[in-house]
Amino acid sequence: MAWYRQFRNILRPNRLQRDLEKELAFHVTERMEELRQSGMSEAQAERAAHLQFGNLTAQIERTRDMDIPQYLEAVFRNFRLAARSLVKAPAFSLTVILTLAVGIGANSAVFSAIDAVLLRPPPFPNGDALVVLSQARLKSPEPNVAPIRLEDWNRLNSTMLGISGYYAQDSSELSGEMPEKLKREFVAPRFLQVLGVSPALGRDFSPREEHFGGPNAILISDRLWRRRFNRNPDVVGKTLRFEDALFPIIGVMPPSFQFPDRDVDIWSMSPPDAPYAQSRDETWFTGIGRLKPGVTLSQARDNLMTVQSNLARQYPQPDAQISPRMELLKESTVGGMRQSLWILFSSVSLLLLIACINIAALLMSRSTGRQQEIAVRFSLGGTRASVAAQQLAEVFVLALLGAGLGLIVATGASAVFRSLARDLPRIDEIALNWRIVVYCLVCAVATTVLSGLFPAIRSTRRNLSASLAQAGRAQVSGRNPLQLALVGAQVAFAVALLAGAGLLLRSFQELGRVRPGFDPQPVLTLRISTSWGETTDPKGSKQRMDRILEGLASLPGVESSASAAFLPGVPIDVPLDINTAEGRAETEPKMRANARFVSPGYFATLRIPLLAGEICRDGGSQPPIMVNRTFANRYLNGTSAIGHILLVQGNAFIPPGQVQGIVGDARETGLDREPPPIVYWCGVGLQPGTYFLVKAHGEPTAMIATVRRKIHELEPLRSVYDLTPLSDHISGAYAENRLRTILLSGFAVTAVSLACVGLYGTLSYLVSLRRREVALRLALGALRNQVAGQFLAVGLRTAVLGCVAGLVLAAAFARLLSGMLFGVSPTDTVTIAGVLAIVLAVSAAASLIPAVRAARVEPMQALREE
Amino acid sequence: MEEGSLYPALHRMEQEGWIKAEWGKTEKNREARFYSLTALGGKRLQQEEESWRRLTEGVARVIRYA
Repeated sequence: MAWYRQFRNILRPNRLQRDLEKELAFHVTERMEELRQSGMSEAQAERAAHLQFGNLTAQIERTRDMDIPQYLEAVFRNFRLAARSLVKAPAFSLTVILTLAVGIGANSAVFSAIDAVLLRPPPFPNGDALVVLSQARLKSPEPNVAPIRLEDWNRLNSTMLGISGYYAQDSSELSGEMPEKLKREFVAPRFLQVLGVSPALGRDFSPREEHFGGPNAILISDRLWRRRFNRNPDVVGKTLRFEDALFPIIGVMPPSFQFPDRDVDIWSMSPPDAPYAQSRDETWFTGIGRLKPGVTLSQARDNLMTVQSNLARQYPQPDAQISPRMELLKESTVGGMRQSLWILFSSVSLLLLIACINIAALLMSRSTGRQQEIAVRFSLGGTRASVAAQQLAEVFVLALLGAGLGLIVATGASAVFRSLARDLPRIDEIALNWRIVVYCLVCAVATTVLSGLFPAIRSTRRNLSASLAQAGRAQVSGRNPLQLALVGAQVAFAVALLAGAGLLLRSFQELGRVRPGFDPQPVLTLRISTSWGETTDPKGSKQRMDRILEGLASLPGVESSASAAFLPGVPIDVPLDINTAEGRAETEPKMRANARFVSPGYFATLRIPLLAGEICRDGGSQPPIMVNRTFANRYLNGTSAIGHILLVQGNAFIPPGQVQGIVGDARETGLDREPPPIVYWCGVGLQPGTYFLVKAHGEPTAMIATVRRKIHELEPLRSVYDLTPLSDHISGAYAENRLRTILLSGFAVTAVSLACVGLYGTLSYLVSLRRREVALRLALGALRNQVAGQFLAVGLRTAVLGCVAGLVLAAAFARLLSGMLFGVSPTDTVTIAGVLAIVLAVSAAASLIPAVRAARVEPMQALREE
Repeated sequence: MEEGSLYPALHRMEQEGWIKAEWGKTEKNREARFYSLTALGGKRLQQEEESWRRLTEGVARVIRYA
C-alpha cells in the first residue's frame, strides 16, 4: 500500500504540501501556547517555539521526502520541465517531432509488414506446427503427391498429428443464368482437423462423405456466403450445381479462413478410395500436415523419409524414385518476400538512424545555446546525472510525440502497402496491432538514447566556471568538428540509400527496355473452367480446345487465338530432362529444357518468328513439337534438330514428339531471365488453368464482352474468367519488384532531404555562432566573397567526405541488392555518378544559403549588439 | 535535537505501516493528526524492544567485565 499512497501523493503535490504545513504548524502553535502559559510574552514564545522546532520549511521538505517516491518525482518533474521548455521552442520541437514521425512511421510500417508476413505464425491455431508436403521424383518436375501415397504417409508416419492435401480446380456453378466460375479446392480427408479450424456455420465433412460413393457435400467460403447468399444463416442445406450434380452446402467457413489462398470459394472432398485415384503415378495433392507437439521439422522429415523408403521396398515402381519434401507452411507462403522485406527494413532503419543523427546535431546546437542555463543548474547544486536526465526527458517527450504521429503515418503507409501489393502473400494481414504500438515505443526509446544521450553527456561535461564566465562573449568560437562529422555521417547514409534506390530504378528501367522475343501487345488472356476429370479423355478435350480456338479466331476484331499452359514472360520454371529417341552419347551434354504446352497458333499470336521447318506440322510419326533456337543450337547442332524425336523419360503424361521446327528465342520464363532452352508441345488438350490468348486489332479489353458471349455460345456450361491483357499479367508478376523500387526510392529521397536539412541547420548554426567573428573580419576589410566561400567550403568539404564514406557503404548495400538487380552491375558507374552529382548539388544548395547569409552580416550592427 | 525531526520519522513509520494517522480535533478544537500503533507496528516494536534488550544486556555484560 505504501507505494500506492506515495504514488498518489505525486499526483497531488499541492494537497500534500498543505497537509504537511497544517500538521507541522499545529505542533509549533501548541508549543507556543504552552510557552506563553508558562509566562513568556507572545513574541518570545513564538521565537522559542520556532527555535525548538527547527527550520519549519526544511522540516516540511524532509517530511515530504518520506511521503513520495523520490526517483518517480524526479521523473515527473523532468517531464514537466521538458514539456515547458519544448513549448517555448516550438520550431525546434516541431522539426524534431516531424522528423521522428517520418522516421518512426516508415520504420513501423515496414515492421508491420515484416510482422505480418515473416514473424507471425500462419493464421491457424498453433500455425507454427503446420508443414507443407510435396514429393521430388527423378526426371519429373511434378511436386504433387498421389492420393494413395498421401494416405500411406498419413497412416505410417509417427511424427504428425495428421496429413491431408488439396488441389484446386475452377468449376462452373450452374444454378444461375450464366455459369459462374467458382474456385473449388478438392481436399483429402482430415483437411480441417489438420488446419485446426472448424466451420463458422454448419459442420465439417462426415466420415461417410470422405468415402467414394458417399453423399455430396461442400463447404463454402465466407466471401461466397456474402456474395451469393447475402449472409443468410439458413444457407446450410441449400445446394450448388456443378457438372449436373447437386452439392448440398454443409457449412460456411469463418472469414479468416483463406486456405490455400484467398480466392477459394468452395471446399469439396476428393475421396482417396475412389477407383480413379488408385494409381501411384498420379500427381494431385499438395500435402499439408501438422507436427505432433515437441516434434521438430527435421525429426518429422527423417521419419517421413523412413516411411517412404519402406514404401519403396513395397512398391519399387514408382516409389523408389520418389522422396518426400517437407517445409514449414510459414516459410513456404513467403517465398522471395523475405529478402525484399529485410532490405526494406534495413534501409528504413538507416533512414531512422539519419533522423536520429539529425536530431542529435540539432540538440547539440541547442545545448550550446543553453550553456548558461546548464551552468546555472550546476551552480545551484544540480548533479551531472540530473541535468543530463532532464535533457534526455526532453528528447523522450519529443520521441514519444514523434512515435505517436509515426503510428498514424504507419497506418496510412500500410494502407498504401496493401493497395500497391495486393497479390503478395499475407499482405492483407498487415494491420495496426499492439505489437506495432510496442514497436513504436521501442523505437521512441531507441531514438531517445541514440540521439539524446551523446549531446546530454557532452553538454554537461563543460567546465562550470569557464562557461559562466564566458557567457557568450567569445569573439572567435572554436571549431565544431563533431557536429560536422555527424552531418557527414548523414550524407554518407543518404548516399548509400540513394545508390541502392538508383540501382533498383535502373534495373526497372532495363527491364522495361528488354526485348522479350515475343509481343505481349494487344493480347487478351482468359481462362475457361475445366475439370481434371475431362483430361482422362485427351481426344475429346483436344477437339473441344480446337473448337474454342476456332470460335475465338472467327470473332470480328480478332487476329488470331492460341492457348498456353503458362503465360509467357511470367516467371514459371518447368525444367525437364529430355532425351532423343536414339539416346545421347556420354560425351554429349545432358538435355535440360523448359516445357511449354501451346496450340499451333501460339507463335503467330505472340509474333515469335519461325526460323526453320514448319510450325507444328502434324503428320509425322509422332505428335509435333517445336524447339527454340537456344535448344537447337545448344543440343542439336542448329537446324539438324528438325526431325529428331524427343522424349521425357519416366513421365507418362508427356508423350514423345518429333521436332517440326525451330522458333526464335523468347523470354518465356520471365522478362528478367535470358531465354532458356525451350521445348514446345503443340496441340495439347484443354486442362484446368489453361490460358487462351486472343490477339485483337485494337485495345484488348474492348474485346471482353464479345469473347464472353462467344464462349457462352460455344460452351454454355462453362464459365469464363480472368479476362486480362497479357501485359497486365506480366507487370503483375513484377509487382513486388515495383513495390520494392518505389519504397526504396521514397526512403532515399527522404534520407537525402533529411541530410540536407541537417547540413543546412548545422551550417546556419555555425554562422550564427560566428556572427561577431565574421563582423569583425568584415570590419577589418575581409571580402564578402571570402566569407561566403569559407562557409561554403565547410559545407562542401563535409558533403564530399560524406560522399566518400557513403560510397563504401553503398558498395556494401549494393552487394546485398545484387540478387535483385537486372541489367546493371552493383558498381554501375552511371548510377554512382548520378547519385554523387545529386547529393553534391543538393548539399551545395543547402550550404549556399547560410554562407550567403554570413556574407551579408552588417559589421557595425553585429558588433554593437552586445 | 530539534522537535521537527520527529515528523520525518513519523511519516516514515506511517509509510512502513507501523503506525496509522488520522485527522481529528483536539480538546481545544484544533485540527491535528492523531497517530496510533498498528498491529504490524506492535509486532515491530516487540522485535525492536527485544533487540534493544539484548544490546543493553550485552553492553552491561561488557561493562561488568571491564
